Amino acid sequence: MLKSGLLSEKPVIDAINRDFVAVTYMIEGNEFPAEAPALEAIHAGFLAQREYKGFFATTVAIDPTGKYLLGYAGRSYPPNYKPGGRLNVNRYLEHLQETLERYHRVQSIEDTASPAGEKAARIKSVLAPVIGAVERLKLLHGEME
Amino acid sequence: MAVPNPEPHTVIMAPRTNSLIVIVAALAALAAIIWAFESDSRIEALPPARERSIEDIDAAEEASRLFLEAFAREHEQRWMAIHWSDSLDAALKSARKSGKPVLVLLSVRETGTQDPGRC
Repeated sequence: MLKSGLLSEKPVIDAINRDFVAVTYMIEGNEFPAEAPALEAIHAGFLAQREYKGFFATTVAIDPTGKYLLGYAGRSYPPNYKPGGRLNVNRYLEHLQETLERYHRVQSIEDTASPAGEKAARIKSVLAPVIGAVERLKLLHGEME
Repeated sequence: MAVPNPEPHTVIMAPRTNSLIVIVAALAALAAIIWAFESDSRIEALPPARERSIEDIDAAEEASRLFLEAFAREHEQRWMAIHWSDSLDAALKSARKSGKPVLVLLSVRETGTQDPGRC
């Protein structure tokens, strides 16, 4: 769905090649990669969400250290970026742009001479919408129970 | 002494007007009959509906298969235009060098389940 949809659109391909390092990663079972602790939030969502059981695909963005989850495109099914079944390239491009801006904000906080605790708090605040999007899925699941 | 007209407002239709109405009605009826006959002729002129043969169905399925294969091939080529790294480790190393974040096309499946091709 993502491959033959959004990821086949030229503006999306151009944006990814220009601004990101791309990789595909298949996680089978609970084998989330140790080198990318940022994916732990997704792992928690996977464990909590009934919809995740079986199979799901999405795009996420992480920083080069693998520590911070910078962007999360939502579940591929139902397709968050295909409202009404239509491919919404612009919305996905906006998402990529927001992700990039978030990354630059995290970088600039990392580069400051502030105390570690203060940096961590500021970075947490920048990343809160992303973590919130993943967390919301868990909350939704809890409400349905 | 003058004798008053007993029905001064009675209109007596001329025989010529009655005939005209009859003629117009007859022409309308004739036109309707001709139109109906023409419609039947047009329907009869259509080729008879043909039952789909096994060959027709096979040909349609083959055409559909070829279309889907071409669609998948085209999209696969387009998707491959993204510069995918070989592994997550390689992507992280490349990101550290270039200073770019890593975009991960992440697919998760439980052990033993089939990839339904949603990704």
